[in-house]
Amino acid sequence: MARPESKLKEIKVAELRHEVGARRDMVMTVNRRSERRIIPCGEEFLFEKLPVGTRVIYPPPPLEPLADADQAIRYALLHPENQDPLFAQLSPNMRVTIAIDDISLPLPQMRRPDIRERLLNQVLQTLADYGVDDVHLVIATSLHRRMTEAEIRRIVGERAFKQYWPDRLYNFDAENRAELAMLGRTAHGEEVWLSKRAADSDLLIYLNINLVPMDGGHKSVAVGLAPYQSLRHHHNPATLRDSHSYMDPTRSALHRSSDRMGKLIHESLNIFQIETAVNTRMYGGMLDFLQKNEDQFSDWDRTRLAGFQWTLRNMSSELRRSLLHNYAAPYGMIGVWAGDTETVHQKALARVFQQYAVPVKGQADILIVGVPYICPYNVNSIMNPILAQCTGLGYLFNMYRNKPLVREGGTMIVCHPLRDEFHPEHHPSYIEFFHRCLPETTDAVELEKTFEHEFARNPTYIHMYRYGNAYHGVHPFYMWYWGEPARQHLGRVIAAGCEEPEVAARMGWEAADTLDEAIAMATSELGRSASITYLHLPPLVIADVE
Amino acid sequence: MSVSRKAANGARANLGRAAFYDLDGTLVSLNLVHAALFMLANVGEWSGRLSHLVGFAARVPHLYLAERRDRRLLNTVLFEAFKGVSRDRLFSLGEEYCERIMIRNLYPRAIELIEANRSAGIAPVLVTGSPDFIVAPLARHLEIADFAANRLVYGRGLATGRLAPPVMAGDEKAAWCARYAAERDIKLADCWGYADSHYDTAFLAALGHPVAVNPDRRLLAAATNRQWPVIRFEKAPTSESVFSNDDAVADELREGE
Repeated sequence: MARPESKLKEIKVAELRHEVGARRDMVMTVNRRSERRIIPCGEEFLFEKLPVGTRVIYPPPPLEPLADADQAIRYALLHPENQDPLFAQLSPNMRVTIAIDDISLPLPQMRRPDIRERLLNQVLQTLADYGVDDVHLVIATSLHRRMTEAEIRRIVGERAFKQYWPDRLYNFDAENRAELAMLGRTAHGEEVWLSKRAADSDLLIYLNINLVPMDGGHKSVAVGLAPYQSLRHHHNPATLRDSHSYMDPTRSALHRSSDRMGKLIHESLNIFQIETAVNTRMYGGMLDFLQKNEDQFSDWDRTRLAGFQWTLRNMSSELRRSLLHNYAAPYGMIGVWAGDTETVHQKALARVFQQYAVPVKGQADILIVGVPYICPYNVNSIMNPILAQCTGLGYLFNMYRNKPLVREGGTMIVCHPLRDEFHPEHHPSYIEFFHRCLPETTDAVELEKTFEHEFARNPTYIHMYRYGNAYHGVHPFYMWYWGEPARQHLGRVIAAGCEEPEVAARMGWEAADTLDEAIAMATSELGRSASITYLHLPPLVIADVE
Repeated sequence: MSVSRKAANGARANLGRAAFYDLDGTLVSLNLVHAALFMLANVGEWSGRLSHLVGFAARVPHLYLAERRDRRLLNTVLFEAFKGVSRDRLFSLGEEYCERIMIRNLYPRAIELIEANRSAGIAPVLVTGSPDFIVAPLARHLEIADFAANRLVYGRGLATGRLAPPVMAGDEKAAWCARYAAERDIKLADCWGYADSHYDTAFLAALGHPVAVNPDRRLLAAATNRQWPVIRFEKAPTSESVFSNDDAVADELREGE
């Protein structure tokens, strides 16, 4: 039962225990007595001894979730930033479009009710109260795969699904020319295309989840509801090379470009942005040991870890994948803001950094990361080598502000088995990209010049994107470009735990059977005094490198 | 080569690349047995029809076993049922079957895909085990210039029940595609192939871009194993076509470059 408006108060997160200054203890150094460390490696979790002196960066503990998420949402809708409350912007007969973040976040998927369901229920109720009938719900997939009916039902909830699916609740289709509108060009010549339904609406409401600081802001609408014609202006090697890092919007050319587009969109559209932030409680219950400092493991934690490893090792790959992808995280909502996009996003960003940021002194010679079983583009699917590359070099390398965690010319060790394994219905163009394009060149600029347009306009891939559940034909290129800043910065990339060395070689990486071997390979060149940093996952951490 | 010729309305497109389409189960939601039954049920007077249908029914166990063993054998057994039917009658029934049944059962999105491929300079070619008297009118309807189909042998204007070699099934489809490509200086590596049955695995494997369409269990396993894309066509489209606007999009993209 909702409380009367007069009794609503802004709910604040208990912040005292999470001051950034108190986070020095999130960085520890391995000594002789230190426990082994958990390292994600595809669909397994390794438990490996790291060399003495290795610096391990831990994610901060989860912030306390808001005590009453529904009340906080209601408060945000009634007290938006730099805009009138949602109800005050409504009138009967107006056309409203609600765009919703797709399945690519949060990762893993969150327990029900999903934040998007909570947001939708309140927004739809407000619209109904004010007689607004012309409402469409669009999943902002951009060039991602179409979400299935079951996936959509899960994130929007039964109420919205029953009322709107399938005529007024659907996936955005970036190849439906009749449903696209060009709004103009930015001062930099970037074409701004958008969903026609959104562009023709009197009010566009965007429901966002910020899992990392890269998400949200102008990027939500300018990317989520845009086709290839728009995305190619910032999803390209030149722009991404100028992004330091993706997690620092102030120093990211990608964000500058999407901000320019977003501002142009705002000139012609009335947008009510709702942004939320979640804490880092990825694993709870029987798996909560995954988020602990291993030095503080109890016997029960070690037993559970051993049991978890044994179970994963002894399952068929299909069953293991199904088990992992069906796991739902007990994320807690740590903030919700509504109103003007830029103001809302600044507040959301501050909260996200409050959750993730850890101060770190200096860069390392060698950075170790573990690529887990999931990334934004393989939910309920296979983590293929291109996505492993994107997660390692694209996302995990970019988990920094100011300077990368590894020095220029340094070595990055990426733990992943790198199997030549693709999902034929989700990632068809990835297969051709991997087997046809990468053998010719790994140079992102060359790939863009030679192959990108052909893949983007390939009729079969377009068909599979529109009517199947395939990522757009151009998507593997974007995944490859995503790793471009890391490729420009690093001297070597070594895949540890690699099962198929030819896969690593095709991507320009070296292969090692084990993490020990990878570290030995790295230190053989840099010397035994080389500094090593391990970025501990899960959950997530952003290093403020001094 | 079983059949390789220009359809009446078909203008030969840019043949730098080709897309080879299987027919039954791939472009159309029917199979060869359905077509055979239609033919035999309409082949002449009622007594003749009865005789053909009874003959066909007697062949059912043989057909079942043939289907389990080899697609080529199935075709051979199935076409024996047409023995004694006049060539003219078969071609006239083929026109009727195409017009009344087949066109209505084409997957709408399959047609979109053919057109989109054609717009992208990938010329369509039908490669099917169906008989030429059915495939020819369909190829005309789809404006597909070239096709390979099975041909009956005729004696004095009547079908002998035998198929003229090569019988379009299994490896023979791949061999036909290779000859077709070689004659036109096309690289098979640049060609696309679409089929639905595990009997077409060799045909798909011969092409650079194989796609499993509504695959049966064994083709799906092969496609997954060989990392071939999988497409599923449905009978009723749920959204309107946009490929007619593809040129407009291409123009806009060119403008932006």
